[in-house]
Amino acid sequence: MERPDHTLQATALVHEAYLKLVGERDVPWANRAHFFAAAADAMRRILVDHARARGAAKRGGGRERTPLSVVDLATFSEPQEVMALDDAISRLEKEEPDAAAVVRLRVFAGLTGDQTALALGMSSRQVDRVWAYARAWLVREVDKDA
Amino acid sequence: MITPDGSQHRRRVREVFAEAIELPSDARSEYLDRACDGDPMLRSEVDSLLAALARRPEFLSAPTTDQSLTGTPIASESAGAQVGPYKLLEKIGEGGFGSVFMAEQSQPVRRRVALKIVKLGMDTASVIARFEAERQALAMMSHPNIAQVHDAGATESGRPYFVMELVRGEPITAYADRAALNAAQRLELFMQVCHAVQHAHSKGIIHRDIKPANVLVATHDGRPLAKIIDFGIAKATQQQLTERTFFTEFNQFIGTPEYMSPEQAGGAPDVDTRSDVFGLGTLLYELLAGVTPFDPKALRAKAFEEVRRIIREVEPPPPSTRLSKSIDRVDSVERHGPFVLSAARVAGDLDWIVMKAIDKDRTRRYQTANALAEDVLRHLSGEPVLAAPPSRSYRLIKFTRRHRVFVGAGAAIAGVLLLGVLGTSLGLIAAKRATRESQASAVRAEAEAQRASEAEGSARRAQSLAEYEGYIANIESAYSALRSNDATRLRTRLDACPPAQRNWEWRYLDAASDGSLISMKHPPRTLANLAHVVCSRDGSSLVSRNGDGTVWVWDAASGKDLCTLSGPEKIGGDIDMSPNHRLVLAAARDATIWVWDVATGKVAAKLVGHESEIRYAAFLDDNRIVSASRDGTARVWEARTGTSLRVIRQDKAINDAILSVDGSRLATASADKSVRVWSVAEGSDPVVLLGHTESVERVRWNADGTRLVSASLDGTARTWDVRAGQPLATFRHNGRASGVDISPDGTRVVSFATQGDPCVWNAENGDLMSTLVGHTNSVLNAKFSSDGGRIVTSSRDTTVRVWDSQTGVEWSCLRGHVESPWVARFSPDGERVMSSGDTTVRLWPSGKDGEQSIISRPLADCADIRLCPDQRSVIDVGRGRFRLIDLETGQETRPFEKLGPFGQSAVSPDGSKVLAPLPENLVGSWDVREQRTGPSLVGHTAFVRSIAFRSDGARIVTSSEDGTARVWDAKAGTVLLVLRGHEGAINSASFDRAGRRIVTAGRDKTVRVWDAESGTPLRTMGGHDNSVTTACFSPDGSRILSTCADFSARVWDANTGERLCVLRGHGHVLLDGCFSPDGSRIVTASMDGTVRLWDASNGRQILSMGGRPGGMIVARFTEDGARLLVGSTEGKAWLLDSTSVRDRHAKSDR
Repeated sequence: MERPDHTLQATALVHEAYLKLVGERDVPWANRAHFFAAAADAMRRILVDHARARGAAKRGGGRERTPLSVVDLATFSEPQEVMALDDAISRLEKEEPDAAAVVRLRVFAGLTGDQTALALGMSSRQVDRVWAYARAWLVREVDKDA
Repeated sequence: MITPDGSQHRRRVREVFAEAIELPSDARSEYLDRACDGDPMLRSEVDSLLAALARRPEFLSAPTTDQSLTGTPIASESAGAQVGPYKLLEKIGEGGFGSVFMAEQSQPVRRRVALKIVKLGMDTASVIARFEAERQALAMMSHPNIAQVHDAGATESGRPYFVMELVRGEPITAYADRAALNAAQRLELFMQVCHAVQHAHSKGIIHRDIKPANVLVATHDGRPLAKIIDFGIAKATQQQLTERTFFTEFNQFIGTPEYMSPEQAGGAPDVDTRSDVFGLGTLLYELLAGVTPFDPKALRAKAFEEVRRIIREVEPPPPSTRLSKSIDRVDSVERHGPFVLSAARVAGDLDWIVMKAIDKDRTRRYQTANALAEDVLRHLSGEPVLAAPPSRSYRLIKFTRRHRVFVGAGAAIAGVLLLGVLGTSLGLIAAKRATRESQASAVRAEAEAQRASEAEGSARRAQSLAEYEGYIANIESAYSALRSNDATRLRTRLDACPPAQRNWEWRYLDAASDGSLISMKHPPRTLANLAHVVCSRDGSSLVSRNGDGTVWVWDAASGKDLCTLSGPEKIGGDIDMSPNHRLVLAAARDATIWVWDVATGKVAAKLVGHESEIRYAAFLDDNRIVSASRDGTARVWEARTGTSLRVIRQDKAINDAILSVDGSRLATASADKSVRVWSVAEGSDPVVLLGHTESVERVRWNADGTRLVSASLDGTARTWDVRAGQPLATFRHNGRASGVDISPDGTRVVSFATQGDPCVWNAENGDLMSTLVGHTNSVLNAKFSSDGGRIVTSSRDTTVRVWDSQTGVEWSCLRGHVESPWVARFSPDGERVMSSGDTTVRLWPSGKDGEQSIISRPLADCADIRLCPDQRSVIDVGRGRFRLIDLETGQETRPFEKLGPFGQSAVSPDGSKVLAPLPENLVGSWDVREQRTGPSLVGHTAFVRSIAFRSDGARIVTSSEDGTARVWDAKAGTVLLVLRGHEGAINSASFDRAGRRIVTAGRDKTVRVWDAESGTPLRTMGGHDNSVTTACFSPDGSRILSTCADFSARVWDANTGERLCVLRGHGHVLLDGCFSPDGSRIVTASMDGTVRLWDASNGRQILSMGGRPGGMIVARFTEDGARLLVGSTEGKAWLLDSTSVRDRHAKSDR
């Protein structure tokens, strides 16, 4: 059984993130929110790419469903989960972009609630509320897919 | 009912949900009834969301909202609480010791950590104090198999807590069983643990509680990676083993009885590294047998004293017998599932290894964790193990097993040759009868002869394969010896490498094994630890003293011995050479001083008069000698006649003395707690410096004789203003200072104690300026250079190190001595360092060492580091910075004001031009000689990722985010070709050496080859699973190396596009790689923190080099192949040199 509990941490990912980051647009680093959003986005793509590669490698293998946390995300442990989550976030993006923004920063850029609030110019309480809502929404979506 | 429009409905759902989630669960339904009254859609939507979150409260774990959902009350030490600077996220473990949480740290770095809260019942203050005592040593540990311990503190409720690296994994035994590892895999995993323990030991840290629960294993890129947790915690939480603690706290704090070493059970106060060897042995026992040496249940049922007796006296059965005994076998099956090793596999070697490691008598165990690992390795490679006295038959069995292929092939050769000969003879006989038959027979004979030669070939192949694998094992072991400063093992391993196999890595390790310029060897009969060395005043000669009573004079430039002076056996004190080089003196232990005439090699005089041990003896000038003794006198002598010219008397013994640089005054350190300063000319009415409260042991002058530093048994060092007769400052070293020195200008002091790192102090106010961190064993010596800028230290760790005295930064680590260098100092001109120990006197360069980062002001977040062709300057590129650094002067140039997003820069082959990606998709150029910017290359429509020159410098190829690569005329700056084909960005593009082809690496996971003249695509190589980060040709153009974000590198046939091999082993994205200039090796750099060398012919990993901070982003050989540039994300760079220091200096002198 292959379960790579990878010690890849968010900080270590940042460097690879820049490889992808520079892919799309010239990022004006001055803008804090923009930077974090871009970093989160790059991180997400790396995670999803890895998950996809891993998923392909172990297609067909029966798999226990285990909880997904931020740490799991950073360790690429459950490829299907990462991809399902990514899909769900994309749907959230369409329906409620502000909630999706909070999710991206918290999950993929690894920011805390307070940092997210700072980056998005919201209050911490607002962020906490949106975050709780987004999580519930995503659980529902991911479970619907499964 | 009004149908709400979509967005309004969603907003309402969010509002109601947010309100509900913040309510305790029993109040929710009432609220929802109210809020959703008459809106069933709203109600069902909110209900489904609440249900979803309740179903998976851990989803994207969010501590702030989780409590309200799970109903966990917020307590001071549960998830969500703040403990010091850490926020507890979730509980990940619980045991007798307390609880472990995943926590988040926000300052000074944001990271997730494991936080272990020890349960009440311990003296928190002393736990933390014990941890603090070891903190510095803990911080020095850096090993992939050791979880870092970051911090310790007390919670609000007063419980001690420890903060460490967050490790996910399961206990090693559970992992091994679940993954159904076979014996060899278990042993390999076990060796990782041994090496980690060895690393900790080399930093002076003993674990004290090695057991499966403290060795966690997780799969890392398909391979198991073990991590030892809780280093430093057992020591901090240790308690005296008593009957009371046995029952109440035994499991938590002392260690579980089944893993405890006899000396720990016996309450020995001197637990040492061999207790960890015992722990490792027990771990191996359990890995092999599936059970611990003693049954934990049975142990716990026994009385305290009985348990102690069992641990100390009862010999457990060897592991293999536990496997064959049916009852234990059932037990181990029960515990670990169906996977059990066979008793036959474990019997013999492995039994012996385990039993040696867990010997009751620690002197009979393996003395180091490495020795244990090496014996396991011997077993794995089929060599005889040390563990049992190997009988002749045992050795023979081993030999045949190891050479099974070879022996078999040998037998085959013999058989075939026999057949061939037989066939031939038969044929000859037949020839007499019939020519036709004879011809047929000759054909047959030929065929058989060919078969014979094939068999011989395969035998040779088998032998060379064994040699090859042996070489790699030796290289790996040599590298680990280098890392742990084990000079003897390093040498042995290097010598064991067959000369035919030696390649770059061998030359690098060989060069690193001895950094001295000259090594002067005393005859081997010398007692190593008595050697002493001094330098003549002008630095041209060295004088060294031997344990056998001889004194040697050496030419410092060539290392040749000029003469050997024989004296009494009892030479044991100072030696010196007169300023005119004519005389040499040596103090003997019988309180006499011997003087030799260097020209004749004869004894010129014997100075008799002192009544006790001589603590100081030196030439005052060409004709006079000054000495000081524990008899309370200092004397001035006529050197050639031995006449006593003056006697200076004081009441108590003189422990140390020293002449001022101008020779006018003598300072003495006295047992009467004073420091005295005497005029040599008058010898009376000294200046008496009082302040120390115990006997003064050391005294040193600064250059102009205005200041002194002294060290005393009272535990302090002091500086004195000699003219004013007043103390200046007091330094309280951690532990009694055993040595001091003062900088020539008198502004700084260095002191060291038997334990801990040397400290540099401000001589005027006593402030600690820096600590010299690096030595892994006691420091023996510390001296300033004559300009005061550097300090040289020597240590029992066998290294000599040079430091910047201002910053405390280590300049170089000089390796070569195989035993303690007792003396180390700078030559008078500061150009050399000299040291003595282990029967050799060595001279070293005193400059910066290539093994230190060549970038003196490292900046984090580095993206590219490049060495200019002349190897004199280096380019360092990071976000928003571009520095051109002169390696000799350290001077920085910043040619470009603004940089584009990250991309690789380039230096022209002649070193005259530097190119870098600029904003607005430009490529900027900088003329190095003229020091000005040149015209930019304009054409790309998105920014530039890589730039490379053709080897003649006339063409440039760039690759860009716009999905094209472009070829430019370097002089005109015009675009000649646009290479299109990649889908998405191209990460790198480069020419082959002949300039005919270009290879590109794309984010589309492909590698492509193009005709460099026409731009025609020649070949596309697919197979990588992620963005390809770099691609380059081999020097002869026949192969291509690609490095990739899929954690692998690949080698391709450049002409057919066929994949030749895949280089696997890195645990993270590869960002750089290249061939060695001779094409035989490949080097790769990865974000996993290692740089690896590979055999380019078959993709076999030869050596993995880790231990440097940060992810590795650059690994590139210099054109001449002599050096390897390695760069990290931390903005540090190193030049690993495969030429020895001696050759390097010989070259630069020429």
